[in-house]
Amino acid sequence: MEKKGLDNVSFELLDNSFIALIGHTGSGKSTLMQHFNALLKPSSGTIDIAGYHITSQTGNKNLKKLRKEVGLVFQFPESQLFENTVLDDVKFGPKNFGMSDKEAEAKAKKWLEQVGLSTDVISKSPFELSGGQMRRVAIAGVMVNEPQILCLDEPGAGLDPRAREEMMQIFVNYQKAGHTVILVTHNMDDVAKYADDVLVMEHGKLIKHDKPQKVFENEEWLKKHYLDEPTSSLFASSLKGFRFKENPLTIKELVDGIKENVQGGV
Amino acid sequence: MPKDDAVEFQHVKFTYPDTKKAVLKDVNFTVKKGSWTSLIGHNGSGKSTISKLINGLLLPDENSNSKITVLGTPVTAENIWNIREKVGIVFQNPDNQFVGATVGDDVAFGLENRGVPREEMIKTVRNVLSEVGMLEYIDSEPANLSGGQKQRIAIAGILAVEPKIIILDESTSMLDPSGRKQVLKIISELMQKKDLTVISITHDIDEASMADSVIVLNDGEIIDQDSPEKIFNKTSMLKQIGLDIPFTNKLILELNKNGIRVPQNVKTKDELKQYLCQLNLKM
Ligand SMILES: Nc1ncnc2c1ncn2[C@@H]1O[C@H](COP(=O)(O)OP(=O)(O)OP(=O)(O)O)[C@@H](O)[C@H]1O
Ligand SMILES: Nc1ncnc2c1ncn2[C@@H]1O[C@H](COP(=O)(O)OP(=O)(O)OP(=O)(O)O)[C@@H](O)[C@H]1O
Ligand SMILES: [Mg+2]
Ligand SMILES: [Mg+2]
Repeated sequence: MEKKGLDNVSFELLDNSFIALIGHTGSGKSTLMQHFNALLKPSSGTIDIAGYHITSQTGNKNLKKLRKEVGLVFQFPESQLFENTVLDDVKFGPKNFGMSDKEAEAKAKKWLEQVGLSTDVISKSPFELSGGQMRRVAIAGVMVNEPQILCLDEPGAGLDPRAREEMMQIFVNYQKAGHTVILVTHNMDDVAKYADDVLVMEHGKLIKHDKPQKVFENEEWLKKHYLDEPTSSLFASSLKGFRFKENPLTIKELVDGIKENVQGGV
Repeated sequence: MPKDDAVEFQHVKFTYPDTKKAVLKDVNFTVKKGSWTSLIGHNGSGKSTISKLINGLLLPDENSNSKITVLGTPVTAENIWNIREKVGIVFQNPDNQFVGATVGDDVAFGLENRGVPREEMIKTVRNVLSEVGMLEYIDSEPANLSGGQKQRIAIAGILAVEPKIIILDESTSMLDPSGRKQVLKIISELMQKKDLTVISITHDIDEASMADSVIVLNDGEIIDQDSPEKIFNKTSMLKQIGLDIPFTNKLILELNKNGIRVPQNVKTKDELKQYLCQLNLKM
């Protein structure tokens, strides 16, 4: 059975931006993500990314540099863990891309610490970890290669609230340090808080590409496409008698807006 | 064990093979029959381990006085088949659960094992698949589904066999918000109809708030068990162990920080809305 995973999708993304990719279950987000590093190739059309030009004819050879420059953290972390120990697993990338064992180990340890894994975990098998611990190993295993473009497919799923917050901060810092981050998420509060740019998928089609403020502008449109509003803007629209200059998307914007109303600043 | 308990843990200690430290030290709790209980706690605190102890996939340390009872039956090596008939776990990673070549086969698997007649089986499979919105995928390979679709199939597979106790181990983590609501609604309706007990392991505060009772686990120890209202108002405890606090509490904290004093007795979202609207009218 032939089915279109993606249907006539066209867009350009800016370097150094933080992009959120959203859409309901089965809309094509993971399929799109796997095109960024040519794990999947387009049946027709072209993709230009990290100096590569990918078409249906692109072979599987010579993709090593692409895989280094475009790192992908899969939706299910288990599917990218394979070595005997956590440390070896995270070392694999840097070694594969030509680093000495010693350098690779130092780098791996640095990233394992960054994602909050303690030293007693790193000698364990990656399959003898809890779900959230596996997720962290998978994230470390991709970030250790310091890709130019970091693609994250629901990296927050399975992380506890503090880890999620910390991890989002790591991604933002990574973007600020001069990289591009593409994040698949169902969490609209994260979209509002972190994204510069949003792609919305539905049935394999790109139905919107805009800034968060614009994407969350129209309640009717969001409802029609089964998308949620950020919690703060939902709360704001339920406050009778309040007027907000701009739809508040984050708690900070909401508090500022409430303040202007009750202190008579509008 | 009182008749109305579905699960009881007494002094449960558990250590994984080839490791030194016990993951669970002295765990005690009960889950009431017909109730919805949420189990929350940081990554690695032992939630999934507890779920596997409930259906005997793991057994407590031998040299301990651990005792686990499920629906009146002690969980021991001899009883595990009996127990697994009654307890259905939707695992954290649905890929670890799929056995069938197609979605339909996969959901039918548990029924086949229980010797359900073919005709009834076909009917049940179609029913549960349509309930979770996946009937059109009945002939698809589970491996070729999206993350959220896989989670829906994993849930359907458990619903099909109608266990007495359902354990959801972060089973909605990859569903979109409306999909999550829909699935939780199906389960809570089933709970009303069929005297089902639900244990949900989740990091999602809205899902945890649906429970009758919330158990808080920290580093393998239970530090609290209470109603969601009470637990989620203990903001300093939650923050300390790295868990989330509800949106309303976060907003009240921020408002206070920004010079809008919210009185102590304002606690729920509706109370806060009402208070803010009054404040606004006075201006
Ligand atoms: N390997 C595959 N072979 C065939 N169809 C597939 C394959 N992977 C995904 N699909 C189908 O393509 C569609 C898009 O799937 P995709 O995984 O991209 O969705 P998604 O937006 O990531 O959803 P989710 O939020 O549930 O992860 C779905 O209908 C899915 O069933
Ligand atoms: N098969 C295993 N062998 C050895 N240790 C394990 C195994 N599975 C889990 N552990 C360890 O036991 C502890 C508890 O793990 P568990 O999976 O119960 O945590 P959890 O609360 O479910 O966490 P998460 O929220 O990340 O899923 C963790 O420190 C983990 O590393
Ligand atoms: Mg996906
Ligand atoms: Mg777990």
